[in-house]
Amino acid sequence: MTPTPVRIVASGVVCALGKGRATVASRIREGRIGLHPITSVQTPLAGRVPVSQVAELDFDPDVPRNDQMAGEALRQAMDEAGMAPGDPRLRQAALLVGSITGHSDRSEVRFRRIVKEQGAVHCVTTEPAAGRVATELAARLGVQGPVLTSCSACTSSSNAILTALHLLRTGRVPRAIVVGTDILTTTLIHGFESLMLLDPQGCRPFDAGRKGIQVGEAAGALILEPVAPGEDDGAHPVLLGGASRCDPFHMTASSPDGSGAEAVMRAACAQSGVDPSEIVAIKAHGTGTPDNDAAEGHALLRMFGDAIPPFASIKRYVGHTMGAAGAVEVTAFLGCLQAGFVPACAGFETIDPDVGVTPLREHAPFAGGVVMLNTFGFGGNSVSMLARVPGREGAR
Amino acid sequence: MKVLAAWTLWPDPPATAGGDRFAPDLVALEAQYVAQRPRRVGRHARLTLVGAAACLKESGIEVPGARTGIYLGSGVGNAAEEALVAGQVVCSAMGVSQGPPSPVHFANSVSNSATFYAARVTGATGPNLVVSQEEVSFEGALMAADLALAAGEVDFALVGGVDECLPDREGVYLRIDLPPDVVLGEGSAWLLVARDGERALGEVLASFQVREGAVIDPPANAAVTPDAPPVDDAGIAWDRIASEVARHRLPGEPVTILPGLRIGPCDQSALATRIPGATLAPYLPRCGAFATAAALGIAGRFADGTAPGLFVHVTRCRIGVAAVVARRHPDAARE
Repeated sequence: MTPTPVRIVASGVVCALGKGRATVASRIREGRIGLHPITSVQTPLAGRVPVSQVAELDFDPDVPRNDQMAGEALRQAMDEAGMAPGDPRLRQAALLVGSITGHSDRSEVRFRRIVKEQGAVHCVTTEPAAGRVATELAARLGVQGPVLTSCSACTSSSNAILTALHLLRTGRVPRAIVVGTDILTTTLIHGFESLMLLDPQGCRPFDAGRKGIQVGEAAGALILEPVAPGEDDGAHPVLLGGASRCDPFHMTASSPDGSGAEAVMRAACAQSGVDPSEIVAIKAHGTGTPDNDAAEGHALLRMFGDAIPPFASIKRYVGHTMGAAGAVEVTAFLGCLQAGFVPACAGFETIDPDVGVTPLREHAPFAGGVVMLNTFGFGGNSVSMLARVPGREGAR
Repeated sequence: MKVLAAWTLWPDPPATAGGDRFAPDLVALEAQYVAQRPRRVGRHARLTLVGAAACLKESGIEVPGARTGIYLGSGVGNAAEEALVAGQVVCSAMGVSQGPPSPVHFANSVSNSATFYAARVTGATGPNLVVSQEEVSFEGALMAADLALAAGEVDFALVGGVDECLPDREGVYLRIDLPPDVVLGEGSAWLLVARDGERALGEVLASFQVREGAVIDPPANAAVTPDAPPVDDAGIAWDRIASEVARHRLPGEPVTILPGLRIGPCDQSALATRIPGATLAPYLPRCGAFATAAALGIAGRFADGTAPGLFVHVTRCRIGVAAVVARRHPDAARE
């Protein structure tokens, strides 16, 4: 039996390209790239490594940055859904958050002060862990349903979406709010530098010359409701299902032959009742690292052979936003589809002969259909989801 | 959700009046349960993978890896390595002494490194989820596993609660809002669960959160001690919990209340008066306070076959009260 589909009734996003789904989609269409010099954290890498930093929010330095970005993305989604804090529909909802950085910007500020004042090198984290973002949001909105934060590296908010699907399909709540949010921190930037995974030119997903990621910050929010039989209005994107798997090949790399990524894509299709031949476009994870893109490319070949649907990574536009990537990229990618186009894979120029896949070089028209949404992460975490997306937004 | 096996690692020694409690040395346990211990992993990951591997091995059940998920609740996660790496990075960025962070330390400081290693040692390649929802992280992991089982995404799930007792007391107290006189603890507790199981140890019947009337006022929370009266009227929460217990209680069945974090004597009394004949079984004095102490309380009940019956575990957190209602079958019923 095909599981109950779940409608994305509203969504919001704030990222390096700006605020709002339509704005971000419009800027992607224009080919704008979300690359900025680092200013939100202090680091000697500031002049050497570009990042995707949120520039269009007036941040209050006294409030954790994740709380502000998550609040903005959620405000957009609630506006679209016609909800205000305390709305009875919010009270009945579940809140699922995906984040790995939580309030760590506050920790780093304090660490700096300690090091500066005491010359100490021993740091103790006293700030709350990632779950506090959800705690604060739940209190602010009056959410009374289950509250849960997923912390599974770069698949955190994709796993949050899957948990939301399960909650809705089992009838535990009538509605779910999913938020993915992560900020740039000195630790993340230098950590990826230590792994030699930062591309000083910005990421170039699937390109032969790719050297690494373009670390970014962003928040995305989605409001989800189940679709009763015969009640799909055809106007909203509908999540058909998805799967989550662990490919325990290596802490920082998937199985190079693509078998791990293939397994989760096939599981997602089976769980959603979708035949791979129905898929008309794919949002790839496409980080721009040699390992990820090779594994993902090989997985696409294993899955689709020489008939890979048009696919693209949107990370050169919005950056690799860590645990927020799922919610942010789903919102931005579906925004593009609803605006009538599948985005080109910015940063790709030359085919990698060792992989042999070619993502979209130019935007392609989108007239509606089933799309695949992939997210992979450290620790072998892999999530694949399927959605049916109507054509042009506003056609309704 | 049926509980097929349970495994717990309690702090040792079990009862100290003063100092904080640390789980026993892991080396012997690793030798017993982990064929190949990953190198250079921190204590949080070691507690995690030993627990997951031991729970599975002691169950004697062969699970299909691709249909088995790992769901870990951890309130503060891999805080020790995160702080180590962050300290290295900040110092390095400020040009103070230390060099750049080690790439291995950075990779192992990632939020889900512990469950990655647990997947490696157990062969569980289904969903691999870390839930970090402050003091109700284990309850959240239990909910996520229950949902995945109900949705048919997995056939089996290893559900754990792990937090380590950091030597930096200040950090622990501030991160989970505990007053400084509380004895800290740590532990690793795991359940192997499935949708069905004829010879199950028992079952988890309900897991839910109640906010109304139960939310801690954050500014007042710092003053909460286990002996102080509750800062709010949680009557709605206690009524809901009592109602859920009554719904599942069999005629004449004993009921035990396991008071978790921040469920002080007044709360316990309020609950006990609503659940006729219930007995209290505090376990925090044995394990100390930590964000996922609930895992030890709940898994400990399943691991101990001497106290069958219905039990309810209750934790109070910033967003309300979380409750788990479960039943431990008599061992005789499984033979």
